[in-house]
Amino acid sequence: MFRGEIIISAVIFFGSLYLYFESMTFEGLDVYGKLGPSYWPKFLLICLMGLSFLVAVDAFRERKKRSSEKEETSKVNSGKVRFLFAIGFIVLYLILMRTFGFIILTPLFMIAFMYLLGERNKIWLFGVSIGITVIIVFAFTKAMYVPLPRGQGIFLEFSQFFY
Amino acid sequence: MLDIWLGAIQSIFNPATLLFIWGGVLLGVSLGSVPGLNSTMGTALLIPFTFVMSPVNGLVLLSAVYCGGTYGGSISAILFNVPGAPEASATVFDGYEMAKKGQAAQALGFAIICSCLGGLFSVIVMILISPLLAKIALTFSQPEYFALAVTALTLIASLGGKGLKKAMIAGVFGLLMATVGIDPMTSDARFTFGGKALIGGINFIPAIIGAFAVGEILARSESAAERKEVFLSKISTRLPRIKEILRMKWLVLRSALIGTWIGILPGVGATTAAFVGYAEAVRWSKNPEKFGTGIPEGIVGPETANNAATGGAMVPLLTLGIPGSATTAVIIGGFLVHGLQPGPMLFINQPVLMYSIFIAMFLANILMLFAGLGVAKVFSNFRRIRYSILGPCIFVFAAVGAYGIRNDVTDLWIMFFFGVVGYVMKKYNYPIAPMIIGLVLGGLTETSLRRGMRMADYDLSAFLFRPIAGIILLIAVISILYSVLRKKPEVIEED
Repeated sequence: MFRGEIIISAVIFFGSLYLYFESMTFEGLDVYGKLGPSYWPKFLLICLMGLSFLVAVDAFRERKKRSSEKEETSKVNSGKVRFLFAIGFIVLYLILMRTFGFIILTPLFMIAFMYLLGERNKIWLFGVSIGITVIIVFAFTKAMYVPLPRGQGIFLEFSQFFY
Repeated sequence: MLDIWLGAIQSIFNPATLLFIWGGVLLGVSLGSVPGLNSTMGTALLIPFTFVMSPVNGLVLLSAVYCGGTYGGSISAILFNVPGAPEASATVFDGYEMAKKGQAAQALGFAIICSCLGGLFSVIVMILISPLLAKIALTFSQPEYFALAVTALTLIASLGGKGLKKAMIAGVFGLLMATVGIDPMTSDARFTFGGKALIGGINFIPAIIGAFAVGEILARSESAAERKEVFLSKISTRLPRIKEILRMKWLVLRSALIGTWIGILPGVGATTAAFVGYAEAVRWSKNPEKFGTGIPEGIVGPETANNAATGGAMVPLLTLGIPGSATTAVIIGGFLVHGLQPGPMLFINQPVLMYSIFIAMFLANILMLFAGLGVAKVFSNFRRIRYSILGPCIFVFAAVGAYGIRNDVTDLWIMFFFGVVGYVMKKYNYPIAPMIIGLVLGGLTETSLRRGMRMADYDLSAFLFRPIAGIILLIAVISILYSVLRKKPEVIEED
């Protein structure tokens, strides 16, 4: 926990520092006198840096208080692996969405995600993933006229068959 | 005035709208009763669906989900010692103890009746003071709006998880995210890194969906080991007798007043109301030592207060355009998708819509009684849906909801980004609600400050000497001092 707190504080601090330098480029059209486009972001970023520093100090104090307790081990457990796979699946789903389209990609994504979360029943895996995709496609594209990504090339042609 | 009321009654009492209210309450109670799902997430997921509805139907649906969801958390709090929603955290103390003593039916009965009474009380208060407050709000200028936004932002500190600093980081982060995109005053592109994707800014609906729904899914994927749930074979509710309620009339009234008042304060929601309601129930009791051992008073206090906060939280939203809680911050999205800006002008431009919301919330609190009885019965079945099935379904609905806002894949990435942020915040006890409120209020805060300062020739003290702005800023200072100096309860979650 301590290490995580420090890493997060550092990310906030240095991220804010980077964005502070970035905000220095906003001065181009400073027609609003003293409070230009960079004023508010700079103020917020200074606040973030200060607060992240204070949170890090608190984390050090907390560790000192609990110095007798054992620091948690950083071994890689199955939960972390599952979490990383979940992130990977989502990223892949979002990247491939433009190419494959919603109707093809979603059942595959759902099956993979359900399997990752521990679902092994094939009827549930296939039934729910296909069922939910069909419900969403019809509810959004037919009932509410909200377009869903159709994909490209052959996938576009396939999607156009449905919506 | 009468014609507005008649118009509102006409718009509400038609089969479709009544069905939306009933469906919203049922959905809210169901979502609230399942840990990990809540009315905030429910309203966030529903906003894209309200696109195709009329403004009245869309907004009454969201309001009904809000009312139902606030009560729903008490069902699992009483039966399984797991609050279904943060606002039911205080109900656990005596609710589960009553269930262990074999009085689950009575506990559920007290929870639903008191939620209903608290909700109805706050709706009546909302009807009485909202139009009056809206009239005052029409005299507001930039300094007053800035003062209001500051007050809301200072009060969100009390939503804080385990520390004020983390809550402030979350709030400031939300404010910073609101600056992304074109500067509304100078048209400078800010934090777009030369690309076009972020030029339109960060739409807060994908952000909300990401932070609440995707963040929860990621957290649950890490701890995906199936929980061993304790199933009760038969769950029923026994409503308390009128005599029993009358015996606690002052407790109900006090808790309803507390809940409504806390709800009205921008940024403080039902969770705080529930804890204050519980604390006051203990303070005024002749037998304070019995609290925590399973007594109805321990349910009546928090349940009346948390549902009273729902009507209260709608007051600043409808009259001033600033949210009174995380869920009402999400409900702003429901207004925006229909091109409506919540605030005093709505009482002039859309009075029928405003009064329709009042009537819908009144009805929702009555229908909640029936929905609660039904959901408690089917609850054990509903909870049998494994998260390994529920999680991916929620994700796909979340993705479609985020995409549907602008039909832009960028919104899916924004949702994912906020999902990861939400996961990290959850893991390290950073409350999410201040971030969302910061994101929602960021634009108002910045533009009212910059415009107001320009009006006052860059003299901030001019803000303090305007009577309304000065008083509101004084409230902000008092609330900061209160947040810093008060002793925090051990369990505080975001609303």
